[in-house]
Amino acid sequence: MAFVAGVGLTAFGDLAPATSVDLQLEAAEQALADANLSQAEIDGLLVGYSTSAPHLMPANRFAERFGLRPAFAQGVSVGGATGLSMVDLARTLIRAGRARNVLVVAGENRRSGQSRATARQTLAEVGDPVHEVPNGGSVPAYYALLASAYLHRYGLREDDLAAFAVLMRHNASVTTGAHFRKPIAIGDVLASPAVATPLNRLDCCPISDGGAAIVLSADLPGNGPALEITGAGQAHLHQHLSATDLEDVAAGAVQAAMAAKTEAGCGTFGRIGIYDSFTITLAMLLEACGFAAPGRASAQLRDGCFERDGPLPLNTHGGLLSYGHSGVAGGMAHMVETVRQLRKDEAENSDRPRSAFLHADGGVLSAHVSLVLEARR
Amino acid sequence: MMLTVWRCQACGTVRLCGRRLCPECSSGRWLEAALPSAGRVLAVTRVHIAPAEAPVVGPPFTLCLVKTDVGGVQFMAASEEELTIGDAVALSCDRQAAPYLVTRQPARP
Repeated sequence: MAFVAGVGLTAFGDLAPATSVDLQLEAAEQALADANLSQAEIDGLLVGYSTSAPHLMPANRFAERFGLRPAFAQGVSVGGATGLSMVDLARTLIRAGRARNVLVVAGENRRSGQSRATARQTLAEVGDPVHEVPNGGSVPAYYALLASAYLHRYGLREDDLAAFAVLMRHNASVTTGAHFRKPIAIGDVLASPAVATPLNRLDCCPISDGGAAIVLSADLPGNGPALEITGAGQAHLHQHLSATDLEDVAAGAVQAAMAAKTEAGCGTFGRIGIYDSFTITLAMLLEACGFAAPGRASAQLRDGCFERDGPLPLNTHGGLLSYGHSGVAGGMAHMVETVRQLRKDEAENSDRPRSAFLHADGGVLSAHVSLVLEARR
Repeated sequence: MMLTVWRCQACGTVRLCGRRLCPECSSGRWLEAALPSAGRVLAVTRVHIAPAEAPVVGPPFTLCLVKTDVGGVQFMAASEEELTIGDAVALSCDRQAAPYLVTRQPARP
C-alpha cells in the first residue's frame, strides 16, 4: 500500500529570482515537514523536467542540492501528465518494495526564467517537427482545433467553454498563492484577446513559476486521514494530433480513467482534480473520465455540479487556469489541493465521500494518467 | 497534385508518417504511396499568436485539420483563407513555406 504522507506547494506567479531548483527545494521542504520525515528517511526520488532548466539528471541535481542520497532516483518526462505519472511510479516502487518513502517533486521558473516567446516555442514542440510545427502550430492552436471540433459536434458556443475559466477563477479568488485571483465573468473571457479561435486569452492557462512536492510512504501517516492511492491507470495512444482520429482523440483518457476506477473498485468521489490547461481540456476530460455525458460538461457546470459546495468540487485551488501553470508542478497542484481538502473533510467530519479522482494529460491529449485516492480508516 | 503518405504493405493501413511497426497488424513493411489531395476540414482555428514566424501571411492565419477523401489521412495545414468545418479543400505541399497549405474548393455533394 502507498499512502500520501505529505504535500507541499509554493505560491505560483512571477517568483523571480527563484530558479527551478529553488522552487523544487521550497516545495520539497514543505512536503517533508508535512510528512514529519527527515531527508535521511527518503529512499526514493522522482523529479519532473523543467523546460527553463533542462538537465540530463534532474533527480541527481535536486538530490545533491537538497541533501538526499536516495536508493532510487529518476527524472521523468511525459508532458503535463508527468506529475501524476511520478506519483503512480512512486506507488509502484513502494508496492514492489524498492522504497519506503518516495519524494515526488517538480518546480520551474517557467515565467521568469525565459522569454514568453521561448516558452511558447518550446511547448509547441509537442507537435510533429516536420508535419505540424512548421505550419505555425502552437499548444493553444492544437487545443483550439480540438475546441472547434467539440463546439461544432455538440452545437455549443464559446461561452460554454468560458464558464470553466470563470469557475476556476472563482476558486482561485479564495486561494492564497494563486497566480490570478481577481474574479472574472463570462463576458471578460469572451472579451479577452483571441489567441487561437475559439480560445481567448482567459481560456488559456497562464505561464507561471511554481513548485510542488508529494511524499508517498509505505507507512501510515500520522497527520490526518490515511490517504491511500487505491487505483491508477495510464494510456499513451498517440503523440501528435495528426496521428490520431479526431473523433476518438480522448480515448486515452477514457482508458486511463476506467483502469484507475476499476482497480480501486470505486466510482463515487467526493472531490475531483482534472487537468485544465485550457477550458476545452477541462470540458473534454470531464466527459472522457465519466463525470459528464458527451457535450454536457458545461451544462453540468451551470447546474452547480462542480462548484466548491456542489456534489463534485473541481480544482478548488483554481486549477492551471487560475492558480497557474508552472509545468510539472502545475499538474501536481491538483493533487496537493485534493489531499488538503480531504484532510479538511475528515477534520470537519463532513458528509462528503473521502475519495477523490485525479486526471492529467500531456501533449495534445496524448499521455494520460488517472489516480484514485481514498481515505482508509 | 498528389500527397505523399505511407501505406502498410500487409494490411493497407495508410498513415501520414511511416511506422517501424504497423499499429494495426504489426507488419514492418511500409512503402510510400501517393494520395489525391482533396479533403474536408475537420477542425479549424484562426491563430492570432504564433510561436514563430507565420507560415503564410499573418497572423492571424488559419490552421486546420483536414481529412483526405481517399484514405482518410489527417493533415494539419495552414491557409490564408478563413475556413469552416466541413469545407471542401485541396491540400498542397510546399516545403518552402508551410509543409501543407489548403485552399477552399467548390462544394462537392
